[in-house]
Amino acid sequence: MNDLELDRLFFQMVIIFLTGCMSAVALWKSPRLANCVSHGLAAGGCALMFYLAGTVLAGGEAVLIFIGRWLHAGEVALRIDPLAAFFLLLLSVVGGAASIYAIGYTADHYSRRYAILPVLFNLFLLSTVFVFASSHAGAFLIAWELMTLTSLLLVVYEHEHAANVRAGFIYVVMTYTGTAFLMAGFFIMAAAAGDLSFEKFIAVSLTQPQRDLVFLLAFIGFGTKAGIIPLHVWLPKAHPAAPSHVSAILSGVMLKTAIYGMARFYLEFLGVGPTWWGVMVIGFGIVSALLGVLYALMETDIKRLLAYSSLENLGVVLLGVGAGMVFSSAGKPLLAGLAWAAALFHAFNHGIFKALLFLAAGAVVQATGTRDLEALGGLIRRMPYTAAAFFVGALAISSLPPLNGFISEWLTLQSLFFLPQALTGVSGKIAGALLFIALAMTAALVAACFVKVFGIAFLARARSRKAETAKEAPFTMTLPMLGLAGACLYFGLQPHSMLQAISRVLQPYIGIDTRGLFEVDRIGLMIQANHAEGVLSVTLLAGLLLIGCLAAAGLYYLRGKAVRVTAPIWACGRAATPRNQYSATGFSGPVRWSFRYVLRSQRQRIVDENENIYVGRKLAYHQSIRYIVDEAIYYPVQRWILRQARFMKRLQAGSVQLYVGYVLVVTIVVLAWSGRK
Amino acid sequence: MNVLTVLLLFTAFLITRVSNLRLAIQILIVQSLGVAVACVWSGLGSELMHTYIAAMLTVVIKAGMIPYALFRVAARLRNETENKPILSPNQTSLAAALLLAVAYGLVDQALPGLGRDALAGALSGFLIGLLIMITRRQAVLQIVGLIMMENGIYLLGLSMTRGLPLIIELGVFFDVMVAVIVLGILTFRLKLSFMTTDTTVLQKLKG
Repeated sequence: MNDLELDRLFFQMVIIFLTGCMSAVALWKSPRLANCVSHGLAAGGCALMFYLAGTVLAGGEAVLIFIGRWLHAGEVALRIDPLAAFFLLLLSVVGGAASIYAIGYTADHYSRRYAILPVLFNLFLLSTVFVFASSHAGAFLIAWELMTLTSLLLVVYEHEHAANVRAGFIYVVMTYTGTAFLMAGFFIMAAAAGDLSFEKFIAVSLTQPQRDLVFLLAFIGFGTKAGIIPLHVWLPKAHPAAPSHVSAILSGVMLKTAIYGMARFYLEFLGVGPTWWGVMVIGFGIVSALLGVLYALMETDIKRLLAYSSLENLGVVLLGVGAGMVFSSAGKPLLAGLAWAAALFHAFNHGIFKALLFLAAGAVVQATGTRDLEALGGLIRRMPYTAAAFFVGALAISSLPPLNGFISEWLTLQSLFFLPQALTGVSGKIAGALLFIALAMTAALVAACFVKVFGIAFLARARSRKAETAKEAPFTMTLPMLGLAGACLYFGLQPHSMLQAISRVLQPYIGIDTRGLFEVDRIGLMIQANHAEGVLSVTLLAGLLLIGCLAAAGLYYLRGKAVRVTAPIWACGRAATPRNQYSATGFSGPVRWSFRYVLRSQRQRIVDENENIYVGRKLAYHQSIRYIVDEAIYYPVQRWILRQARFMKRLQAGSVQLYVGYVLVVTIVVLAWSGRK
Repeated sequence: MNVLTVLLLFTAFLITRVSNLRLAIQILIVQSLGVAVACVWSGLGSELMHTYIAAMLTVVIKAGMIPYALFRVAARLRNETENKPILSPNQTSLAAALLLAVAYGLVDQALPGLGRDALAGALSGFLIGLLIMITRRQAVLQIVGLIMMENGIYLLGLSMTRGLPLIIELGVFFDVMVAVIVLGILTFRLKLSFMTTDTTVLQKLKG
């Protein structure tokens, strides 16, 4: 397929999304129709995007969509290169699933302002497309801001809850601060290149301090979007506030725009940098991964838990990115390719399974009306398809074979394993070994976290009336969930197709060599890096798993036929209520205790002493953790700003005469100043 | 021209001493007429048509419409006089004299060479207008201060540039007119809401 047809396809996609917006506005009086048409068109646009991105990715060549001159901006180009196509593919998969899901999910939200939701949804998808497709600093920043703006409006869509508006406010403050850093980074590049187009940025000559500055600015700017700790404060608040199908895209795709931006800057514009760049990225990555999963484990709000888990996964992606940068600067292109491929593949996989988990969580929230894990339970019998989809997602995020999360996390682990080859000195060796352990621990904690979510929400008995009466979601919601679950399984069993595409994406960049990195053998995927050869045979793994399952089933049946006996539950002579079950807070107790120096958990027990202790006493129990990053960085800043504000407030005494007095003083001072010799 | 400058300053000093609202407005009319004459005066020298239009507008708006509106407001405010000004008349006059000195100093420093007395007079007219706004509680007197300020600015422009372009002057007149209308309405609302036009009551609005 040549460029001409692809660019027509691109514009058709844009028109479909815009039609999606318009149709929702035109049909605002009949929300049911607006819902189907608008979200249906969004799904259609995503299908076109899938085809477009797939074609570019398979071809391995950049495709120019549009180029035009614009006053002083120079040549503004829309270009889809393999890197952009890779992320567009993720957007198309997640966006398509979320669009179909939205048809069923938003049917509960019909109200006078309903039409806004599909309009914003379409615009959000479209602006994200432009973020990936823009090949011009100005166009990129505009698309970036549009994406922020539309996502902000989606976050505060349910503005009846004060918490959502507050979340939106924090989101705005953080993300605009991040954009300011990004703009500074872009302008330094532009000043050196004399042009704003990305093509001119590639071979731009900067001095080393300038390169360091651009690296830091881009890291802070994109890091804010990626929610790396300590720039994460907005993420656990904003992501759960949005409607669930939007949360899926926020976590699944919008966070990845930051990884895309980092890849653009660090692979394409800046090239190979000094070692400390990569080390710094790794450092932030491992902190995000560990703290993210700990906070996720402590959380009982299902959507906020998923948001914290996004912090963890972005941390893992950053580990890959940082390792790749370290390897490039140490002159090990093959290992750099391995690390970057692991990072990109994990970004892709996280997009899919986190979207799946958010969609399933949304179905649960809609069916039960609560996000609190402590009020759920027993949903596997009432919502079997949702439970199955969530189970697959939980397995994938816990990086268990044969699902996609396993492959990318294993590749990341492998690349960290080689890190001592690139880092000289004893400290480097020790750090490499410790990172390896820390990542393994993270994976184990994630598994614990999702055992908790699945066990508490879907197994055992319902903990509230709402959970008892929950109904399975309509097929428009379960179908996309099961589709994404299928994608998790597909990329787990057939990772080489995607990995080879990623190696084609990475091949052209300086300091990276991916030729022959991923070979498909008879037994499975071969990884050939430096002296060590790794073999990952997914078919073998799947076979072993199958044998294990068969063996377990065989043992079960060998013991003889199961006999069902119905009897009341023994609870020390009292009737067992659902409250006697394990709670989510209780489940995370051991971890909370082990990590008490990091989590600073506090608990409060209030016992009513008046009643007879042998019958049972009233107990109130409060458990909270303190967020050390917030306390160390954000609270002091907040206090400082408030102190300044109180000082400024004294100027505003409320007296008209005083205000005019300010005018008089300023006039005289300005006149005197302008006449100074 | 110097006569007019003296007239301007004299009226400005006079206003620092009055506490009766109507008297203040009458003095303001005299001052505005003086400004209009100054405008015509500068037009005579340069034979520019638009200075006459500007002079006419000054007479119509600053000596006609605005005082008329202020009289109407003042007529409704019977028992309102400046009883306890923030600075007493004597102190205000002293401050005005100080401002005159400051104006001379500023003109010498910032704009040397041009017509010294006219510039200093205009500037001190402006500053004394501000002073009135700061030291008086009555809303009507604050409006009077605003117009005095405006007259000062107008004269300043006139003595520096021999008249601004007509379009700018029209804009300035329109600005002042709207400001006075809004202030007049606000004064009236103040009377309705607080039973007084003492602007210090506005401090209650502060949250």
